[in-house]
Amino acid sequence: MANYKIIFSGPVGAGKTTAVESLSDTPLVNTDATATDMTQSRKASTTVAMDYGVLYLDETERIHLYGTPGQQRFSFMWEILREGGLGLVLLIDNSRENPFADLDFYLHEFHEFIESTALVIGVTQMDRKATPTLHDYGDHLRSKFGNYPVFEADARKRRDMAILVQTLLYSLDPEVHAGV
Amino acid sequence: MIMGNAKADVTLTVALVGVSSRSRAVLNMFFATKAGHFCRLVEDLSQAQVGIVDLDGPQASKILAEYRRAFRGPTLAMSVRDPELDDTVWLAKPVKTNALLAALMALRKLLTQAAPIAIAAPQEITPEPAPSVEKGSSDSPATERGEPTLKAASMASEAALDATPPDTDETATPSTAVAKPDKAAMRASNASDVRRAAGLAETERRRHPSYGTLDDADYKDPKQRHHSFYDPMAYLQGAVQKAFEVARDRQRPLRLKIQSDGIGLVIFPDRLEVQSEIREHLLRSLSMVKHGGDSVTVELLSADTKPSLSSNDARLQTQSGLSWKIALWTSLGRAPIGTDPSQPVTLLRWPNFTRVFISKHAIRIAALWSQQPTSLFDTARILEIEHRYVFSFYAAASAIGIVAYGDSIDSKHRPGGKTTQSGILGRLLTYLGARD
Repeated sequence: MANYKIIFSGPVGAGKTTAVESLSDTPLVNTDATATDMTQSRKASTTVAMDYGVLYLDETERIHLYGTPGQQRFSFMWEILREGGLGLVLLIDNSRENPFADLDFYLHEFHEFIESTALVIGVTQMDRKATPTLHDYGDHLRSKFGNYPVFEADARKRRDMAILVQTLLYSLDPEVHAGV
Repeated sequence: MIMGNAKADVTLTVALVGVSSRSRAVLNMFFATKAGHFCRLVEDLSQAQVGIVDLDGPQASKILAEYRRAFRGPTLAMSVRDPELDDTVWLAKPVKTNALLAALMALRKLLTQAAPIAIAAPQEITPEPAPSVEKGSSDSPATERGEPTLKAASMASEAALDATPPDTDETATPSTAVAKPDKAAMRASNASDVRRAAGLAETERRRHPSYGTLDDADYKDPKQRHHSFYDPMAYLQGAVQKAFEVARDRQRPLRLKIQSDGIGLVIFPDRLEVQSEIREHLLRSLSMVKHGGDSVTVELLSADTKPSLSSNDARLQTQSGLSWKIALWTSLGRAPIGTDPSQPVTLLRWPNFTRVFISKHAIRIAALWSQQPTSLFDTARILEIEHRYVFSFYAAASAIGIVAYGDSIDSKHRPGGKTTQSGILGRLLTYLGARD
């Protein structure tokens, strides 16, 4: 059976668990625990190891969806999870104090992985806080990292998450055809 | 009212797939009362002529895949968002009784291969005010929010009102369409228009852009090439763009009056938003017609004018989103005059694809142009797609200022990797509903 992997990462509360749940064909397997530290002010629970979901393409082929824990003390998991991945879906919470700092951190953390695969960025909570705008994100990305795709996203909406993943795949190879 | 020679005694058999128990109960009532004289529900998909699929339920994609393997007939898809599926008629939720009724009647006519018919606006459907679709609403089916009846946006009434062939002839008399868009839109006179109205033949839909009728050869033929360009200023697109500029320069809200009764667009330059008072399919029709913006007028509003709609109302949209959409409607597979299709083009920033219409092959084109400057002609060749899709994308991207010629990006890194895993990528894209 062929197995492939897509990684969802980002800071605490950005929507990684919800994103994996939106896409997964099976109920989510997650490893939540009661939040204790500063995370508690944002969420009652937080992922401590990973979220896991799966897309069944057919009887023999599946895509594994992994949501990394957001807290930095679990960052050792990120190295394990990204091995063998197709690419990274990075979710950034626009309502956090400094989204650009979050963006910079994760792009540095996953730099080598992104260089060899692909990246798409989904900015969540833009309905709660409209700035920085997507235009601002684009300027920031181009000045530091490159013209990566960055979209507004609602992790609860499967269509938004599907578009992020589609963009990730086409970024890997624009010449690929659906159905091949 | 649908006129024609269709045999009235043919009963259409319909199967429901992926429908919640509550929705099923409502639909059972619908079929027993409103549609019982020409439709019958069947439990077995193999006995159905038409399938109705709910795409918002759990594991909808899996259900749809299994359904497609088992059934290849006409399909009505109910969902909150347009799934943009081939050979499927989309019924926006909450589904209106008249919309479902009109769609089923149109499909029955098609399946019985009636003589050429005319579609007029259903007598019982009155013109609606601006659509009340709300952005940002939950994706769960409306019936699961406790709605006891089917109501709201009417696909069929809009299809009947907007049966203007999407491939509008550039030489067609524009004034008729501009002056009375409703009557022009209701003029559908043959079976191909029936299919178009039912959405079974092509991917272009009533709010979606048409990509025109130019053949690939026309784009390179010196005698035909001029047909592949258009002047945005000769269309409503130019009038809207000018209105944005005036509002920005004057730093005041502005009403762009499009219809004779003053209804149009209200522009808020400080918020970079536009409130649309005009029905989307009418705006589309006007965008496609040359000189569609000639009769618009502008009215400056008081500085404290605010949108009257909430931020999650679909009628309140970003200026760039509206510009993108109007450019796609206007383009018809053409690029703005002055475009050099043999010069490499680069993408300055990505369109916000989760919030704007994704034209055909748009993500692939954007991915290519973000990785390497590529001319419009080479893009069509490399991606093996028709030129009209590339030219349409360029027109929209140009309208919102996200493309430039050549290698003008001063970036530290040009993203993009290559993969040898095209097989799995293609299958995953298909699974996610991408269409190439």
